Amino acid sequence: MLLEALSVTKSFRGRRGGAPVVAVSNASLRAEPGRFVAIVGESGSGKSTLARMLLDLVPVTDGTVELDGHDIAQLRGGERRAYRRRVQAVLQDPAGSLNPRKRVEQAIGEVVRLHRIASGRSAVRAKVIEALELVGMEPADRFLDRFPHELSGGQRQRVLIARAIALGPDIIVADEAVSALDASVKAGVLKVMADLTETIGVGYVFITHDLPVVRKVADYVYVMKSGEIVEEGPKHRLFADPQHPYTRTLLAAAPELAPAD
Amino acid sequence: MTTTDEAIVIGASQPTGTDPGAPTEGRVASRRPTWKVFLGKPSTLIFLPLLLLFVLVSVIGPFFVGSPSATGNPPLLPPSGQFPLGTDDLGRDYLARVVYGGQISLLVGFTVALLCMTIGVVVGGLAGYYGGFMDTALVKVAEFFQVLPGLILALVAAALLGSNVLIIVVILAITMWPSCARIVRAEAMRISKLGYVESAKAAGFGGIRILWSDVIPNAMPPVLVATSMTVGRAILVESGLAYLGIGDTNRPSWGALLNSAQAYMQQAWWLALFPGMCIFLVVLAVNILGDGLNDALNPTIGRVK
Amino acid sequence: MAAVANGRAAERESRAAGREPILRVEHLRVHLPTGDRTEVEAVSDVSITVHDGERVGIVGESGSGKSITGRAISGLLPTSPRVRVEGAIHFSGREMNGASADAWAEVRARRIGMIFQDPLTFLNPTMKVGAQVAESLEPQSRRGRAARVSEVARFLRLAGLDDAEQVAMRFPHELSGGMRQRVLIAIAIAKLPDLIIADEPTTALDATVQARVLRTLDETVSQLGNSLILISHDIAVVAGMTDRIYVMYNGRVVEEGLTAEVLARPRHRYTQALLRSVRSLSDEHLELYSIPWELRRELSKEAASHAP
Repeated sequence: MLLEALSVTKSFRGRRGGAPVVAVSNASLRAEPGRFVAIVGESGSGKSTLARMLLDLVPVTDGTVELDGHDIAQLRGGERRAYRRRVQAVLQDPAGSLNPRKRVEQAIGEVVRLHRIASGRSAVRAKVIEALELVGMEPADRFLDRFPHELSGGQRQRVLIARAIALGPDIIVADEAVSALDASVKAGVLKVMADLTETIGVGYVFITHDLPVVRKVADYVYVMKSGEIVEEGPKHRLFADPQHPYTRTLLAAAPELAPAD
Repeated sequence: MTTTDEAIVIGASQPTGTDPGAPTEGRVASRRPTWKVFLGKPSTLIFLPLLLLFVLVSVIGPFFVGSPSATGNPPLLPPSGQFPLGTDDLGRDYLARVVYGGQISLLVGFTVALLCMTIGVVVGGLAGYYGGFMDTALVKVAEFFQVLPGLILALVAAALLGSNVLIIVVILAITMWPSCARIVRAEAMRISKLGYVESAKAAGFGGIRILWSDVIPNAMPPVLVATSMTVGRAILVESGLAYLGIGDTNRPSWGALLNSAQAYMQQAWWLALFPGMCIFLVVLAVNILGDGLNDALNPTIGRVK
Repeated sequence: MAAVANGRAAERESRAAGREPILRVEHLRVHLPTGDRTEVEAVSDVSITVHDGERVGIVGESGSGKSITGRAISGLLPTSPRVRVEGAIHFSGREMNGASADAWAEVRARRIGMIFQDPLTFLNPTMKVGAQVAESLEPQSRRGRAARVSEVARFLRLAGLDDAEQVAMRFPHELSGGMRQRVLIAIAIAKLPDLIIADEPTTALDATVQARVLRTLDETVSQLGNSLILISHDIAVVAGMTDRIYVMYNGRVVEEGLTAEVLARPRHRYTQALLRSVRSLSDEHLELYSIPWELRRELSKEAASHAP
């Protein structure tokens, strides 16, 4: 299974006769199950727009996004739904990615029902519990009837991940999924995500501005600036020997603690 | 970014119960449910029963009072034991007339409010969620209905179609729905930008489903408040129309009664007082309840950040 | 301006001589309402001291009470009757807890410079940036428009905005996030405060911008000699900029000491776990570590047993 962006470009109409705004320019990337791919960039780099093109939430202006060779813009009906199941999204919370009026069981259960992973109340609930346990929320039935405001930030993020993996996707596109979390909670959620590559073989496209975190979990890294991918490469190479000046700037910028004695 | 919102969540480090499996963060302090807050307010405790009383009386009252149109009694009798609200100029039992009048007024008020809410939710929801051409078109439609001069429309309709309750309801609904639609549209626009709508799209849900399941339920709080206020407004407008003579003469509402009472202001104060007081109390109750509902639905008032 | 600065310097010297710290917080407790009838002790028995010219960091996760402490110290907690603040807050020897709103306003106007997290809510959207900095200036230096303009430009430049004159003419929404934050710094330092309180000043910013803003803050504070309280959940940020550090958990200070000491040899279990967690996020050789709930529960129990 291969999800690819082939030279995609996204431009938005300029305001009232102004020049069009190019959010993403000629970007190409590859994502596969089992591999952790990261897109790193600051605000305005276009990384979130690129993510949304991969998820077909935003149509491309030029270029194509292909799933196993098929242009996703051409998919219809059952194929389109299959695509949505195989490529899932985990978008940044804080307190915005979950419907505040839906309990956890419903929030996860409704996608399970939509994609016909299971049907009937008890089968759906079993699936929901399975997903919650996979993200480390145990005992899962404690959380079924909670509303988002009754969960902490880390728990909400885990619920979002649970909702994504309940469908057994091939790839999860996560946009700033851990940025708003405290260090310890961040480590916990990242651990869950990294473990899932092994337990259920899911792959990630992980979008973030936080370069150090990427060093920890990613296999392959794309660096974006002003809509373009300025550098890419396997993690070790990129961190050991960054080529592009912007990559070096990013690396230098992150405040880090000295290692323990 | 970490916000002080979560600072209130100190309780998070005290896990509920002692079950070993609970993850690090416990249940955070939950808000009191809206309806409890609403019912706990002193204003609600006074005015909700009052409103319910009016509704009750208009529903079952007719079984207990005499005929509102029987003219056999002595005319213009002041309130007494036999006729608690007196009689009118044609000798009809005024209590019966006020009770039946309440049926009409309340029926019009609630029906119009519900119709406005329904139309408003549909139009506003579609406009706010889909945006673009649909939004522009629907906004134009709403604007058209908003500028229609309701009074003239009512007069013309009355002249052409006769004036019965149904026509009145329809006319009022037609002129009053745009304000509800505007509120729904604003909320729908705001909500459609939120993360969970985007997540729902990414999960594969279709537009209408998202509108129905995610957008509209979260848009309801201001809509509910506006709808409760609409009840009062509709009753007042209907009373105004009736006062001008546009109303079902066979089934007079409180406003119609007020209209007829004009000629007898000097001799028979009760003819104006009772329907007038009823209108006043019902509209007051509905407005205060709407305000209370607003307070209950907006938990940030009084909450410490 | 020079006279005032000299006056302040003299004050500082006498303070240093008399060993009166700029800020002395003793046994601070803050109770906040959490619902109609419930309340919670968001800050329990917190004592913090800041000496003249010192830089102190307060580190903690969300819910630790660090931001509430910062607001209590600057008198910015909501004034609802259900918000109760107990304990002593001595500012330059003057007891501030329970002081009137006017007294606090006076102290905040001249003595404390605040840099909070979200510039958009702290900057007046309808006022040009330069005017907002000007409001902060010492009264004496406000005389004469030319003097004002040049003072404003001076502080904007000090805060790292090179294009000071241009920036001064802009409205907040016309500036980028990093620039807005630097405007906040300029406003804070323009009053020549004794103490600057910065609460998550860079959390909402990109990494490169964050680095620049922090450096700016560092340099500015060095140059002007103010005392600094830096509050953040990001230990790395606090580590680089402070002399002493307080670690907060669940409303209490669990550890304090010289920053270098605490980071190298943390004594409290929470600090050790937190540091381990932070390091595990960037150090390739460490496994991702998240503070286990068992430890959190034990710490809560410990804290509860200390409660009066």
